[in-house]
Amino acid sequence: MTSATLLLVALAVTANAPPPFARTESREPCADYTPLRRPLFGDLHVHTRYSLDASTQGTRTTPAQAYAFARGEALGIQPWDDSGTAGRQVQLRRPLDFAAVTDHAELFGETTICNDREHPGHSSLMCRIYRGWPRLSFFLMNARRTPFSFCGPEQAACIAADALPWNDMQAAAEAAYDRSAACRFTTLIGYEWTGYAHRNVIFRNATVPPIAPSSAELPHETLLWSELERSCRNAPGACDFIVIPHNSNVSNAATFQTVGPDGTAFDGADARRRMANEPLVEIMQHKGSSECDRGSASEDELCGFENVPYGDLRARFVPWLDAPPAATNFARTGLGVGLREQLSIGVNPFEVGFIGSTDTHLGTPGLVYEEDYPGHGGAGLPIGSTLPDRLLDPIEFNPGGLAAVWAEENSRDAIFAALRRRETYATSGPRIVVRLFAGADLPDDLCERADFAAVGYADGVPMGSRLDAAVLGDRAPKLALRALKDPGTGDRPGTGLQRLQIVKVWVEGEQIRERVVDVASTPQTAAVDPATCRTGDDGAAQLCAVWTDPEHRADVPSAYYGRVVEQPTCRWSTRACGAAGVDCAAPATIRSGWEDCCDPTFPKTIQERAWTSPVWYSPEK
Amino acid sequence: MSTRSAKWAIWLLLCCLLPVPYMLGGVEVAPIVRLLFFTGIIVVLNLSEGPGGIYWWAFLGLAFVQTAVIGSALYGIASLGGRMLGGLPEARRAPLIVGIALAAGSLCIAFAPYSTPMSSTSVQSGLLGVFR
Repeated sequence: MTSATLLLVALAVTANAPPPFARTESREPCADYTPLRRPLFGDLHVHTRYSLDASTQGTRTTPAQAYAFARGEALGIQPWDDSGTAGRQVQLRRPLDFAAVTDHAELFGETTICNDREHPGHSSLMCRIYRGWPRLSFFLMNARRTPFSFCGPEQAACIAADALPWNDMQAAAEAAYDRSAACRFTTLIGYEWTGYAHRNVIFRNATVPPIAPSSAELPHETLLWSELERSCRNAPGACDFIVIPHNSNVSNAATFQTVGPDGTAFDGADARRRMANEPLVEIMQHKGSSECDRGSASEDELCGFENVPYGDLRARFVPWLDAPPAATNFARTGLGVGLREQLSIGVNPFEVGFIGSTDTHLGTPGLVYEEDYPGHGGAGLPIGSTLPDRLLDPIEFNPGGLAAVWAEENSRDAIFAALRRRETYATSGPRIVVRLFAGADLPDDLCERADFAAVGYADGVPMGSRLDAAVLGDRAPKLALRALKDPGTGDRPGTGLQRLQIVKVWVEGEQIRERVVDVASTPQTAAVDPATCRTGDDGAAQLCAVWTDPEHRADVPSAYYGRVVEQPTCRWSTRACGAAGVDCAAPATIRSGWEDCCDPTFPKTIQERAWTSPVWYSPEK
Repeated sequence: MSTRSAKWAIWLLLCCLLPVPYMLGGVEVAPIVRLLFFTGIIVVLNLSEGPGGIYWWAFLGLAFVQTAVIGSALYGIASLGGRMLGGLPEARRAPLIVGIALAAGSLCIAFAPYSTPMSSTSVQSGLLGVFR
C-alpha cells in the first residue's frame, strides 16, 4: 500500500474528525470542506474612505462597499460630479474568496471629525483645509507631531472619534462574512499600522481590541506586538492576530533589520517573538514588487519585475531622499539575512511566507487587471472632479497582486490557520494555482500522478514549512512544484505559463547566495506586440517538475521557493498609452502628462507571476 | 504710467498669471499667489493650532523660502520688463500692460495651464480654478 493510499484511507476514516485547525467562532459548517486543501484568492490590503490618504484623493468607498465590490458588485469611483455621481464604474470579473479592509489607524479620529458636519471640529481651519485642499492637508496632518486643538483636552474628542471607523470596519466585515454553509466569502478584520515600516494587522475572528493601536502611540513594531499581545492574544477570549509587513521595497531597509528599537541586536527570544507575530510578508502590491532587486545584488534576469526606482517611499515626496533600493529592501535578501541570523543566534527571525495584495486606495479589493487600470491612489495621484488627461498612476506603480491560501474551507479559522502556517503564495494578479512540496522521499514521477497533493502531504511538507533535518539525513531535498495557468473568464481567458523556477537562498560565511533554476518551461517563448498587445503562443496550461538540489550541503541552512512565470503580456501603462493615442515614434502624439509612456526605463511588457512561500532547511542541532 | 509703476504692474501680472513650480509635499505648477495663499494659511494654522513639531516648522519654512525666492526672481524679471517699457512713451505703457494682462488672463481662463494637485477639484486648472 502506497503512502498516498494510506493517506486517503486515513482521510476516509477521519472524514468526520475535527479539522486540523481550532474553531474559534460560531458558524455553520462549510458544505465544501476539502481535506487536501484548495486555493482561495483574496486581498488583505485595502483602503477606503477612512484612510486619510484615500479620502484626500476623492475616495468615498465605505468598508461595506469595498466588501460588496470584492463579492462582485459594481462600484462607482472618483471623479465625482456636483450631484455625487461617480465618473467611473469598476467591477471584478470574478469575485474574491476573502478580503480584509485595512485602513490606516493613524488619524482615524481626525479624518472622521473633519467629515462629520455635526462635530464642532468640522469647522476648524485644519478641517477646512482638509476639505478645500485635501492634498495639502494630507501632508500637514501627517507632519504634525502634536494633537490638533479640535481633539480637545487629552485628545478625548479624537480618541472617541477613533472608534467610529474601527467599529464600522468591524460591522462591515461581519455583515459581509458568509456564515452560512455555502461559505462563499470571508472577511477578516484588520487595519494598517503605518510606522516607519508599514504593516497590516489581521485578526483571526470578530474578537478584536477595542481600539486599533497605531504608530502614533506605538512607533516601533515591537511596541505594536506588545500591545496586541496584551490586548488580544493574552486577553480573555479567542482573539489572535498576525502582523504582515509590506513594501519592504521602499522601506529604506527597515523591514529586514535585525536590531530592536534601542539599536541592540536581536537575540533568540527577539527572533522567536518576531516569528510568532510576523509569519508572512506581502511581496507584491500596487507600489511594486519586493521579491528581489534588479540592481547589482542579483543576476536574476526576472528581478526587474515591477521594481520601483527608489528605496524609500518618502522619495516620492521629498526628491533629495531619492536613493537606489538597498538589497535588504527585498524579501529574497531578507530570507538570506534570516538564515545568517540562524547561524549566529540559533533562530531565524525571517522565516516568512509570501502573500500579495493590492493596497488599493479606491476601496477596490482584487482590482488587479492591467486592462483599463484606474490607478490605485495611495502614494499616487489625486483625482478631483475631473479625470486628468494623463496616466492615472505614476508609471512605476502597478495594479497590485493577490493573496492565495491553501485552506480546507472558506472560513476565518481555516484561512487564518493557513496564514499562520504560511501555506500561502503571492501572485501579481492572475489566479495561477501553484503547489510546492519538499522532502527527500517524494517520488520522481510525482508529476504524472493524480494524487500529487496526497503524496506531497504524506511524503513531504508543503510551502511555508521546515524540512526536518533528521528525516532528511544526508539526502538532498527534493522539491515538487506544480502550477496551473489562470483559466481566466469566458471573454478574457488567462495567459499560459512560460516557466517554473526554484529559487534557492543560502549562506556561505557572511555571504548571502542565491540560485535560480528553471525546472520546467514551454518550448517556445511567446512574443507580444506592444502596439496591439496581441500575443502569440499561448504557453502551457500546466507545468510540473520534481527537482533535487544537486548542491545541497547538510551543514548549510537554506530556503527554497517556487516562482511561476506567465508568457509576456502588455503592461497597464502600455495599454493606457496606446488607448490615449501615444506613439513614441511620433512626438506630436506625446501630449503633456503622457511623457512617461516613452520612458525606456519602464518595460512595455511584463510577465505576470506567482511566488510560493519558501520551505526552509536547517542543519540538525 | 511711470517706469516704476510699470515694473510693479508687471510683477503683479507675473505673480497672478505665470505658472511657476513649487513644492509643498506635492509639486504644483501655478501662479505664485497660490503659494502665497498657502503660506498664509499655514501661518494662520500655526497660530491657531500652536507648534506642531519639527516637520511643521520645516513645512512652514519651505513655504516661506519658496515664496521669497520665486517672488524675488519674478521681481527681477519685472524690473527688466519695466526697463524695456521705459523706451516707450508713458501714455502707451498702461494700455500695453492692460492689453497683455487681458490677453494672457483670457488664455489662462480658457485653457488649463496650471497643475494643481493640492485642490479637491481638479489637478489641471485654469485661472479661475487656481483661485477657487
